[in-house]
Amino acid sequence: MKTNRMNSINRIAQAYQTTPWRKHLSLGMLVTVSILVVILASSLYLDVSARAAAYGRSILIMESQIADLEMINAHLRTQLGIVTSSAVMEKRALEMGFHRIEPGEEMFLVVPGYVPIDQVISNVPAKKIQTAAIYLPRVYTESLFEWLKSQIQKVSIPKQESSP
Amino acid sequence: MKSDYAKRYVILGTLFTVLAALIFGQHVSLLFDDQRGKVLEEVRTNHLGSQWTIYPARGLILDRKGQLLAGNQMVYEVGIDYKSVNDPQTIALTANVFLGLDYYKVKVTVENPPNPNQVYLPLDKRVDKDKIDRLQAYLTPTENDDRQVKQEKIRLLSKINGLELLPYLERVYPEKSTASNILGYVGHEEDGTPVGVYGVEGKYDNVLAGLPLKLWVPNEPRMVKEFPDIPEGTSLILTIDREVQAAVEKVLDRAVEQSGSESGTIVVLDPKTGEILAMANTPRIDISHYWDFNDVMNKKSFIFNRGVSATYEPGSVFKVLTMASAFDKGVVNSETTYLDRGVIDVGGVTIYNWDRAGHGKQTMQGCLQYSLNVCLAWVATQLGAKDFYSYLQAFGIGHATGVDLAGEMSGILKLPGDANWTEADLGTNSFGQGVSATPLQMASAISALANDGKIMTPHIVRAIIKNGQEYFIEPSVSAIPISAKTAHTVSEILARSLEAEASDALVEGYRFAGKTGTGEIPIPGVGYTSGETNTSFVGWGPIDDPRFLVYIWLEKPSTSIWGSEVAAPVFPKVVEQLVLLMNIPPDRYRKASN
Repeated sequence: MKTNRMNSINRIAQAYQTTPWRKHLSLGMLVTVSILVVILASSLYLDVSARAAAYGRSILIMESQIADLEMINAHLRTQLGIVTSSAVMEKRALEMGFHRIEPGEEMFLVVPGYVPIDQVISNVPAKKIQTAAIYLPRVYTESLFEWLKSQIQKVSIPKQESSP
Repeated sequence: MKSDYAKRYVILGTLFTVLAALIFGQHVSLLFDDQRGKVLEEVRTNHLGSQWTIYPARGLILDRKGQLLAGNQMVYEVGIDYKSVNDPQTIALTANVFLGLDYYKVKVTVENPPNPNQVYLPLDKRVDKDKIDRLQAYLTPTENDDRQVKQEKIRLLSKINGLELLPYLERVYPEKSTASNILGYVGHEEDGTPVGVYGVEGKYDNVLAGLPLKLWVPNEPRMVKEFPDIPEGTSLILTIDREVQAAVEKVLDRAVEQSGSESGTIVVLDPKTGEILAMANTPRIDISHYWDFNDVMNKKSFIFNRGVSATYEPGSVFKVLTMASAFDKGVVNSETTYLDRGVIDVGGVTIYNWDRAGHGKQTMQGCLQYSLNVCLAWVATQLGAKDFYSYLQAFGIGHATGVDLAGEMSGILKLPGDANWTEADLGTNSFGQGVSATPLQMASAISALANDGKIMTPHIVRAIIKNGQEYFIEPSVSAIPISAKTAHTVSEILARSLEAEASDALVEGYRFAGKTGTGEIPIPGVGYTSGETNTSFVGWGPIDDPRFLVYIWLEKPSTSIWGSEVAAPVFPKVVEQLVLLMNIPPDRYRKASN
């Protein structure tokens, strides 16, 4: 039995020795497959990196737009304050035919049970509610190797049995 | 053949070894060369990203009804990015036509950087947004533009490459000079950091400015994270009403002009809460352009807010405090009389009445009505130095009120035991001479009479707005120098004395308590001047339910030296505005509705 096995190995070895192209072919295939794997991995890595970079740029641009819009909001709020300032409103009222009330022109009425309200009505709009901490999914930032590592960890760590 | 290969391997091995040795050597040399190490570290850090400091928008300042008193508006810094410049001539022309900058100056600056390594240089640190908007509108292609125009705009855009427009927020005050002495302004430190100066801006600078956020922004786009939410600076709601403030300022301006006074101050206080309802000053500045007012600010007599920063000898309005103290201690009462001979000696100093005449037998109401120095000096001696000064301190004389405005002064009150105090001071202090206070201090002290004997801490901020929530500031009692009974009794005496005198301070339909004051002005080394005075008036009411206290100070009037002739007539003018703007009906309507 042992002799038969040895014979067959010798036959294969002899066949390779007598036909070197077989040896070269297998080597070539191995190199080609390796290159293909590297190219595939590189392409994936490049794709993920390029997408992450593009999203990163988008975030920066949006941050800049948010800052601009906040600045414009502050500006417009102040412009509103300027066009409703005391002097401007008085001028507009005079142009519309009103005049400032003089002492003695006022008329008071007794309204039983009326309680004047003195409250602050601020023009400051309700500020935006702070949402939960801003979270950027890992998919936008992790590298291919980090992804692979996490996948391996996911597979290697057994799922916890749920208690009955 | 084999030896050839061996030779090549040796050469290659040697080369790699030498290279490795060189790299190692460089590392070692950098370890011991701090200077080069720092430079390289800086290059590495700059390459990785940059440090950004983000300043939150400064908080707003609003009046008690929510009207904007201080806000932020966009302006631009225009500068040159030397690395990106293509066409200096077009840049200079654009800056001239659209931004109003000097053509030749810009062209020379763009063509000749101050030094070869200059990266950026500002051309103008403040350009209005309107001008920038016009430029951007001109450069932006629209749907109506034909192809040639669009191409021309794109070509122009590339030609002005290097012209940087950097927006930032600038403080602006829509009401211009109204309440400027209360608000203060925002200046800049040498490094350009905005800083609040005077008034509310100065006192609440840290609160309004918010916390600047320092961020590391990586150049590597994959490492970019969303910026955290930067909260705006806290906004403040003040106790003043812009309409009331403007009306009081208008009355004051007229009074200063008509009386030929050097300056004037009116403080309006809510005695029940300590809220400052108005605080008017002359002169005032338009704080949006504070830098234009160096001339005003450099004047010797210019004090930004005279209401809290200018001290003076108040004169006879001080008698209110002396009389209230004596009533509270029980050394005098409504029935007490004093025989006024027109002269009294206290501590070796002879004190006379303002008219140098004797007024005969007087009740305490008469003493206040005729403003008799001699009577009040006698009252102070009856009270005794210990109790007199103890009461004055309880009224807050001699120390700051704690108002939330920058630059408050505390005035001077000499006390027994002090090196410069003499017994004569007891007599002179009783009628407001030899003691100094700010208008707000006086208003705050006298407000005890209008609020059942309690002094509320004067304040200007009514509420704050932080993270979208309004927080109201609860009024607090700062002192209770006298009892409610004393407060009512002395107020009633002062209301009657105004009515009996048929004073110019009377207001039709309303009953107020009040007292005039004329204070001589001390000149160091000379004594008191007789030609120049500080005239004052304090009044509060309506007497049955005081809603406000008005304190008026006109400095060195030229038409008359007497408070009763200069300051007292201003009171009804202020009150006429206040009752209208604060919806306070005449006494008969209020009593009918109650």
